[in-house]
Amino acid sequence: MVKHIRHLMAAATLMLAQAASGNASAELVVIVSARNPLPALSGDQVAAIFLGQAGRFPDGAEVVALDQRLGSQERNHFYSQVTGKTPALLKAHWSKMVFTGRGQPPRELADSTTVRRMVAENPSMIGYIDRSALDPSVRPVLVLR
Amino acid sequence: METPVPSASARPPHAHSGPPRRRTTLARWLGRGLETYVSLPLFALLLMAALWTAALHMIRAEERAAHEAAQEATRELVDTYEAQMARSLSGIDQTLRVLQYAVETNGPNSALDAMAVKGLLPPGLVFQVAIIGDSGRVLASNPQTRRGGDVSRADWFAWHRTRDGDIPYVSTTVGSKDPHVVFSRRINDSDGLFAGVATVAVDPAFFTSSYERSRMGDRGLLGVAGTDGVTRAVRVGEDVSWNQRIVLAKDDKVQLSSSSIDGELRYRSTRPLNGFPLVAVVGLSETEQMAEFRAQRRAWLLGASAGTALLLLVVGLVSAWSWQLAKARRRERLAQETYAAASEASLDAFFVLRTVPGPAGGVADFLIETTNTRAEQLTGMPKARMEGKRLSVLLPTDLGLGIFEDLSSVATDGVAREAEWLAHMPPIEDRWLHRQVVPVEGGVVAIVRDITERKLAEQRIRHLAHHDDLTGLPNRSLLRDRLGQAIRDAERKGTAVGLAFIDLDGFKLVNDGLGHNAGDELLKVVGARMGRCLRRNDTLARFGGDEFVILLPELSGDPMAITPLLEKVRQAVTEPVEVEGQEVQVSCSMGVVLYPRDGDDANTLMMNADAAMYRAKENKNSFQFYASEMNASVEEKLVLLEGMRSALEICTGAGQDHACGEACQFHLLYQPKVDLRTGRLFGVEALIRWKHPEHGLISPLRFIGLAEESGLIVPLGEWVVRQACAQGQAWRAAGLPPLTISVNVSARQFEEKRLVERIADALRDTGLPPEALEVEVTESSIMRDMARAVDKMRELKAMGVSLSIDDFGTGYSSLSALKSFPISRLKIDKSFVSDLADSADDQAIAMAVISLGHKLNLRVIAEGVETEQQRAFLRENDCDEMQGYLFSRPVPPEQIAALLAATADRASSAEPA
Repeated sequence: MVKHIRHLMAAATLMLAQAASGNASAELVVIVSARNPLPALSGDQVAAIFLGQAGRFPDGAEVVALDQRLGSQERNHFYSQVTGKTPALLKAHWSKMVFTGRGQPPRELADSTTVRRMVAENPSMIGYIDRSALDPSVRPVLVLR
Repeated sequence: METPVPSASARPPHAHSGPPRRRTTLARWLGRGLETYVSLPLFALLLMAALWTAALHMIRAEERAAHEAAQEATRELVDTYEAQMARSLSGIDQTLRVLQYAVETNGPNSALDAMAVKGLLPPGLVFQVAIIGDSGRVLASNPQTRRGGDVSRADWFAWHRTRDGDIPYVSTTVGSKDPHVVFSRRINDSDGLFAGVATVAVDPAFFTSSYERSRMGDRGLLGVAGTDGVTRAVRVGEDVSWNQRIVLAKDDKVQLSSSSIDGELRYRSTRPLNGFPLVAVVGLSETEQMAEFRAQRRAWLLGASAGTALLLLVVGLVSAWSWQLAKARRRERLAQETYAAASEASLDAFFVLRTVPGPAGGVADFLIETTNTRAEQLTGMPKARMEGKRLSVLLPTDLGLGIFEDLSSVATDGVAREAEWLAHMPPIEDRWLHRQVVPVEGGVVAIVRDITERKLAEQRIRHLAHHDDLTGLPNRSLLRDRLGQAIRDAERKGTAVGLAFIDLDGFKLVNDGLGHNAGDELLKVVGARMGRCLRRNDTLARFGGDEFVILLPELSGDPMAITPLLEKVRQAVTEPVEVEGQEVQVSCSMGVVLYPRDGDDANTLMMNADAAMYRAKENKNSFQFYASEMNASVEEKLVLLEGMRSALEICTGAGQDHACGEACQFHLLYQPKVDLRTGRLFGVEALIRWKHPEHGLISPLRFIGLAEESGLIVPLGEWVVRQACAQGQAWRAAGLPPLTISVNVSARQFEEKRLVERIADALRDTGLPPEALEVEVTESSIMRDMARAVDKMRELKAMGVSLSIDDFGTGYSSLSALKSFPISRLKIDKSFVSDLADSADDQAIAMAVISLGHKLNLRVIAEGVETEQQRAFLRENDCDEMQGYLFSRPVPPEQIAALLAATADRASSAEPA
């Protein structure tokens, strides 16, 4: 009984914390087009794609990553979750990539909806959105908590 | 200054001695240089020089290579960096132009959105683009953070506002919290008036983000600077900095210089960039670039040092060893030279001999390794001839005298030996040598010393110890030794020893009257005279004063045997002696003992001899036997001898002088010899008889032996020959038929030198033809000295005198020698004849003699035939002649005629029968 109550208490605390973060939908999902047959991706695979280190899906299809706006909640959250890099480190990473001509950072889109729409239209695209923005046009391949 | 003459004479020797000395010095130095302990370090020095030259050369080459590699790396780096910078700058400029265009076409406020839609905006993460209005206000930006800000004070804004032209501007790095370099272009409105500025701001770290530690290390430098010499971004390792002032070097050159930024020494190169007034700067840390080389260099130096150390160690050890070896060798040589000098100077002869091993592990021979000068003198052979020779060649075994055996046993058991020997080798006649043989490894060393002098001295000393220094005769102690020896010999052989003590009578008179010198002189003379009377084995000793002793070994024990000798000594002493110019005469008294009769040890004998001498002293000039009965028998014999001597004197004197009234006591009887076959009397044997006026007829057995011993037999025998020859001639004169007259010659007579002469004289004096005379010799007298005897017999034979052997069969005649005797007759001894009738043995002997005589073409006569049986046997066995009582006893010469007549009658009467 006591144990049960304690679980309830923990769940309540978590919900409060999420509410405190200012955004009710703090959960991010990595999505691809619903037409894309890709079943799921690991965090490392996603990180490689978004850091410009992999240009293709694991099944060999070309991939284009889409970013959210620089400084946005989703973006910072995503990168810290997936790559473990701070924004400063990401900047240094991409500075080197760009300067040495090895790649360009993913294209920036305004918000999760825009991202979802673009991804839904193109099976070669991949993005990350707030879980609340999910719909059947896209399919989550990785859920970030 | 030199006078010519001395210089001329002095120079040549100098000129001669100079070069050789230099040469020897040079040779010595060269020789020393060839020693390992000198040559090896020299060689090692060369080796080290080569090692270090090679190592330093390698280091230099590697340094150059490392330097060039660093320069090349710097060049490559600047090339790469330039390319990266060029692309980035061209991208930035492209963005600026797109911004210009977008503003011109869409207006400043929507230009960025339009570009965003077209995807023309550069990634905002790296590049911050902004559009500035003509008032300096930020109209739009991506990211939008700077929107609404005022940049009218920025120098680049002022620069664009005042300057129309299509030239981009690069700011210095600004901003401390969010540093950036601003690239800008002026935007004109449609009228060509200043409408604003398009900017791209870039973090300076962007330009140095291609820094790779793997290529550039921790202290490499990558950066970009304005042509104004102010850096926009510089990265050293992980640190990025800016706004330093640097000196820009010439383009495309790699320089090694210290950086003004951090003082690091670097290979540095700069490259101007197109489109913007910027210069790319790269640098590689000299320390880092050369680190590998330095490590390598350290390794090389370490290796070379280790090699050098090892070489030094090895050379040091080998040299030290070699030096020790050379020192040891020098020491050894020195020792050898010292030994050689010492042995050379030694008075002893050295022979260093190497063993030549035999097949069974023994010593087969020795090889002479070296000798010294003394050895040359000793052997009479030069060193070179001896060295390398075998001992067996130089020392033939017959001269070896066991030396080789001695040497080889020293070599075998390693025990030193020494010995003395009398050498008879050709160059060293009869030298006494002493050898010491010492074993050495692989051989022996024989040290030989000539000890002849010492030996002679020893002999002299020994002689002095054993001899009287006045006369040189043996002294008391030596005589005692010899007496002991003689007694032992006599005991073993069963013979006797005679010892006579002699004291001079009247010596004291001479000594006192004429002085000691005269006495000494007398003793010497008398001693010498007595010595001459002795046999070879006899010893004459002086006991001091006037006492002498005679030792006579190996006697028969019959006192008569030594009497003549003693008599001779006595007579010799009594001969007058002249001393100190005066004639003196002494006599001697002798005491004589015989071993074993008069004592069985030396002391007793000497004591008794002394006693006997004192007895003799009572009579003076005589000798006394210790045993009185001996004195008596000697006395008798001496009387007989004296009688015989005086009788013979009368007989020989009578032969010459008829005036002498006394009659000759000797006379001859003649025993006829007859032919056994015919019975004819063909000869007679003369036999001597002595008719003493007092003792009557004396047996020849008594006086002939005495005459033999005393030597009187010689004149007596001569008298017999003369007498017989005269008788024979008388018979001839009387007209009797020819008779052979036989005369016996005793051994003593036969040995006498003048025998042949005496017989020849007798024949000549009497006129008897030699054929009528026959000499009968005993076997034993021939055998004493056969060669001489045979010579004598040949002489007699040559004269015409015939010879016969008396008593044949009693001696030990060599039958082969018999053949060579010039004799015509053998006489069978009467001892065989007497038992002829009964004894088969005697018969066999008689037959053998007869047979032998006939085989040798000799006539055989038997003597002592007394019976008819004997005669019958002899006749049966073909014996030629006989004599004896059966036919006739010895008869006076007057009866011979009658006998001749009787036999002649018998012969003539028998003839018809």
